[in-house]
Amino acid sequence: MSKRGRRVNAALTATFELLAKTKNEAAVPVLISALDSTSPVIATAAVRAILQRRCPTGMRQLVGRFHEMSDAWREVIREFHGRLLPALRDAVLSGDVHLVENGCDAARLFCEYDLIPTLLVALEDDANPYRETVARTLIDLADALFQDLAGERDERRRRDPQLSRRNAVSALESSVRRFPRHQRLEPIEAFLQLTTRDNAALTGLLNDVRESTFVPLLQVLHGSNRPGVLRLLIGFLDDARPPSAGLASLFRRNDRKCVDALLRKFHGEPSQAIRHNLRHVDHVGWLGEHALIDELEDGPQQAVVRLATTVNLKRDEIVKVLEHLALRGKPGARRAALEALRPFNGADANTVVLRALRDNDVYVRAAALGQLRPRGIPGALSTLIDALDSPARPERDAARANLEEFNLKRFLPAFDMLEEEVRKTTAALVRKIDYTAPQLLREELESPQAKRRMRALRMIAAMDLAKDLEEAVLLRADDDDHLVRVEAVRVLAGLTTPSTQEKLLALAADSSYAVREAAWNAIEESGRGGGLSLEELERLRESFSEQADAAHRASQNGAPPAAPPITYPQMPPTASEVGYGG
Amino acid sequence: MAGSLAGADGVFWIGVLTVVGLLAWLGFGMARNRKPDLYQPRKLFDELCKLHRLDRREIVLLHTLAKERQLEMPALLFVHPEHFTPGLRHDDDGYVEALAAMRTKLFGDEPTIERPAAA
Repeated sequence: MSKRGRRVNAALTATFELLAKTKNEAAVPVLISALDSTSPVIATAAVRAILQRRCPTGMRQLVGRFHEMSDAWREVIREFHGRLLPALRDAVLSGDVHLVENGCDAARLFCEYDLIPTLLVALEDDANPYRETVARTLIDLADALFQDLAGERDERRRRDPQLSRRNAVSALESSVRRFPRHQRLEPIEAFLQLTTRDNAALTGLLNDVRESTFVPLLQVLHGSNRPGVLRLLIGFLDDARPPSAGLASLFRRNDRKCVDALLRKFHGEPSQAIRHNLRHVDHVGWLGEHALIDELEDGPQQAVVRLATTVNLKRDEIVKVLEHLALRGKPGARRAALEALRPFNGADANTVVLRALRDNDVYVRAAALGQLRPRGIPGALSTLIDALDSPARPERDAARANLEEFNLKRFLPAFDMLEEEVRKTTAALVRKIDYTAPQLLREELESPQAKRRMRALRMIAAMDLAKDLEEAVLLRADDDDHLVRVEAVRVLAGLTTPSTQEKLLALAADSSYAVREAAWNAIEESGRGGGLSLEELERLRESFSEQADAAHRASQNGAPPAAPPITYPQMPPTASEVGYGG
Repeated sequence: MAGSLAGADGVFWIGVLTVVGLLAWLGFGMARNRKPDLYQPRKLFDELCKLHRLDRREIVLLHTLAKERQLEMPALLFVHPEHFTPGLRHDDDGYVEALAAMRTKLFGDEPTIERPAAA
């Protein structure tokens, strides 16, 4: 801009500053005239000057022109928030349709919450022909204030929404009390939208059925979808002493919005206060509406399970809901429903559990498996044993958890008393069920009592755990007790690893005849002789026996017992050299 | 008798003085509370002329223009640049140039305005 232009613009600015500040009332018609200027800059400057002057005539002009206002004008008015309020009040009460509509539109656009008392005056006036417009504005302003309260404070507005709420609620509360006179539900809806559950007037009105506002209040609580009304209803759940009418309204509603809001409260475990309040609720209207429940997502369906088991419903009603969810709910809900069904006995609940065994979801099947034995369902044991071989881990775990009596601690003392067939069957079960068995057997192999060590070795063989416990068994192959060594050889007989091969060959020259016999039997049975033929093995065996006997005799004659002077004529290659087991 | 007449005169004059005093008090009070007439278009025009430091010749020009445009309030000229566009019947080049100069002085070529801070 040129230097001259800048100077002149400063002159125009000075003109409007003077018009804004002078006490001379003649400035007002000049400014109003400037509103019609073809220059948007001059017209906008006039708007600003009128708001600065706070002149009622000029502000009335602004309200009258609201429907044709440019964005620039609206921005200026927003900047001077609240200045237009007196003119808006006059407009709403003017009786002129054009002004009422403009006033209401401006109040909505500029969020003039302080206009609520004026709107109530207009709304309560029977003779006011524009009550509908005013009523809509009241509801819209309550909505906007509710959003303001929920969001962050707009510092540009230099206004505390909490303060606006207090003022609005106070005015609305008075209007609600005047309901018998005006018979309008909008003030009640706006009041419920903005008030909090600790409002004494609200509690009083909801606790007194003789109040003339009791029925209309319930009417709004049952029907309004305003977020504030829903928040209020849900908030009653957290109240230490909620009005029973409010709580009943919440559970009487069956619209999706309310159901969703309620179920959000049950995403986690409900608080103590909620549990306490729900003990007094014996009816939830929508729980019987399966179509509504089917529409819900998995999370909310799980919340339905929590809700159904927390409220004070009849047993059959709860089982019905849980049955529906267990069989037709989303996967998470099916699991939750089955778990929730656990305390409920009876044929109907048992049927649900049996049907759940055929569910597509492995966790649902696992949950069902877990309830077979506690419910005493016939065939539970065989079903659980079959499930031990399931490819799905959850099912195996569930079966194991329900066959806990098949554990090693119980099997140990009974082992020697069982018949061979039963021993084998039980050992196989214990191996599948008790994952701690190998560790316990390892500890048992270290027992100071030879009998216990021998029993542990027999159990290892019976449970087919030789491969898993090979190292521990190999140690027992060097046991001081030759009977233990014999048992160890029998266990090792089933293995083909190089270390076992070497040990068996070493034991073939053991000082104990029984051990040698057992070792040779093991070598022959499994056909492992380092590639030697049976005849060669037999010769080797005889040679070993002679040397072992000689060593034994020498030890009896005073020679040191350890390290028998056994030599290995034609010693066969070691197992590792010929590649056994590996 | 004479004493009672003198007493009656005294009461009369006291009454008269009281009424006069009361009227005077009311008159002063009303005069003090009376608001001055704030609607003064002529004064506003003068204020604006003073603000823009217009000389006598320029003020006369604005008066002439206001009369020509039949404006009730000459101050309107300060917010309506369109009034400075001469009519067709003007063939006085000096007058036309003076109007253009005045328009530029009050509004500039492109009338934009610097925004003062919100009150």
